[in-house]
Amino acid sequence: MPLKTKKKPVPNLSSREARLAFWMLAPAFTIVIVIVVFPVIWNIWLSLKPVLLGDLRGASLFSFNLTLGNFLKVFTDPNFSTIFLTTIIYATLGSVLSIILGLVAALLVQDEFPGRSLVRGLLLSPYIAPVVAVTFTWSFILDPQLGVLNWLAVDKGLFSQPIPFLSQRWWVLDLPLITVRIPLALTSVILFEGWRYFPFAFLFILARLQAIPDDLYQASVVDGASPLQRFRHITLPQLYMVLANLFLFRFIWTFNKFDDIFLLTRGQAGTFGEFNIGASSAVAIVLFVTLAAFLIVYFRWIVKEAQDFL
Amino acid sequence: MASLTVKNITKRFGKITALSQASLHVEDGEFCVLLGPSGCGKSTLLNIIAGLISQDEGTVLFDDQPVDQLSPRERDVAMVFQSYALYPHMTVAQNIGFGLRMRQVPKTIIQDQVLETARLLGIEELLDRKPKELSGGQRQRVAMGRALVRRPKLFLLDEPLSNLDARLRASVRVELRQLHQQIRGTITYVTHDQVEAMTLGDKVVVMRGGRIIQIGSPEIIYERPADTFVATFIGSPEMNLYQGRTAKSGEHFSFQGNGFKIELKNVPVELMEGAVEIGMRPEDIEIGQKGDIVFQAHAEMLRPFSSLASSYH
Repeated sequence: MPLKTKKKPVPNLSSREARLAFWMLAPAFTIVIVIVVFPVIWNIWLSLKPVLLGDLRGASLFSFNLTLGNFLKVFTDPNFSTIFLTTIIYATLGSVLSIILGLVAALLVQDEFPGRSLVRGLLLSPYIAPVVAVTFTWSFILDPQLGVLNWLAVDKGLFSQPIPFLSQRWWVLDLPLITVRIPLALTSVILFEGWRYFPFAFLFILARLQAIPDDLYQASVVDGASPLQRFRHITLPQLYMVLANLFLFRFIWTFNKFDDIFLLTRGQAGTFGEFNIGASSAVAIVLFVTLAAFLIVYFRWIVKEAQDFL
Repeated sequence: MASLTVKNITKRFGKITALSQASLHVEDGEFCVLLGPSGCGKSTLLNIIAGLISQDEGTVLFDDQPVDQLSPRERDVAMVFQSYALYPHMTVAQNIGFGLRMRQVPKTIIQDQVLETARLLGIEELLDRKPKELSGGQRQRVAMGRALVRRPKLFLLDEPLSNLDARLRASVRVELRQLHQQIRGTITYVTHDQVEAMTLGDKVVVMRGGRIIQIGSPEIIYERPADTFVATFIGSPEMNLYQGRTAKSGEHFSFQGNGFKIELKNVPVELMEGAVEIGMRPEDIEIGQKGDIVFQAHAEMLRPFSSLASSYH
């Protein structure tokens, strides 16, 4: 007589592992759905509807009154191309400037000297300080009436009159041969951006610099490379990957930047305005799509290239 | 190629004296090996010769000209590092040609010389690869190529074989020796491996604790070690040391050890009566019954190993 035991069949290893994997991934998956996927879909939904601030809690939020009106409003805005171009210039130059400053700072404090840790710590301060505090400080420094910079420059005869760095869109400079029109507020904001975010680049670059093996430098010294050649042929290629990634992050974050500019300029040089939720959502979608396109190009070309350097 | 003279080099790192009064001379075309345990100052000495670090005292001369004030580039030396230090973002060809490129040699000449060097080392097929795509042995060759291509005054090699497995190490050792005979370069070679030192060097410099203990040909170092450190450091299995006394009986001296006695005949040193330590190479000990030496031992372990069997007691 065969013995009959009524035991639950033990699931095989792969199905047990699959079950474990499911439960391990579920929390992260849920979080991503809630804080990433849902807002994006919600944003797309809003951008396709005429929603003003007052409508945000109404039942009309869920009605299917879809329209492309918001996008039309964005694209047909006579200032759209200017604003778009300005954003790209601002994001590109702001990112590049912060990376260059970060690179210079990292190279300066790479080697041992007394008080190095202190200097390294101090260099981080623009990034750590609260954004409201630093924008307030800078707008105070740059203020045409009360600002210390204008006062000093006028006092020493550098400027003939105070320059409203943050509230004037164009600054016309009369040079002997040509007249140059400088986008003043934009330039100020880019410089501020470079100053405020260079510590971020600085940290990453310094970490990578420290990881470059010393004997690569020794080998290049013996090979006869001058300090400049060492930077060009050893340091820079070794930093290529981190620089590429830094530009990616900084570009995305600067492209979406709002708080710094708003706090610095208060929208004076033609920046912000109405409380149209639908149109804002459409703007967000335009930014999103632009960044997505940028990311695709970037990963195809730059990151692939950078991996070659490893 | 040039001759190398090091005179009374002293180097301190803080309170630690890494090198103390080191002096040596390497003839033009000679293969000189700096041998010693880790931390003996041999790599420091090599870096000082290269100009990568500066000495506190003493002077370095190439062809009897002081080079202390010259940068590594001006000294025109080539170095092979233990880690190879290949530039990871460059191809093999770019790695080998880097030194020439830094010296503004025209591109076509660089190409020719890189190819010629690659042929010499048998790595022509690898020229377009990156270091990460190479095996350890191939990387070692590229590092050698980088040094060879420039035809420098001096080759400095810092444990270039220590990252290779035992089999490869043996074959590269032979190749290195052949290469040296081919190019007749002046080589200073740092190692802690006595087999490398004994098989490669025309001249072996034994170092310990920042001092040079003995300089001589491998035969001299082996046969006439300067002290018990050199005696035990060189040779595998290690030399046996016994403490005891010498005493004169009739015409000959004899050594009285702990439970055995040896008649000392044809000893190439002046002998005196007193407490001494004698050393015997294991391969010089034979089992036999000649009667003049009575030496009994109890074997605790026998280790058969190829044609050699080691006995520990």
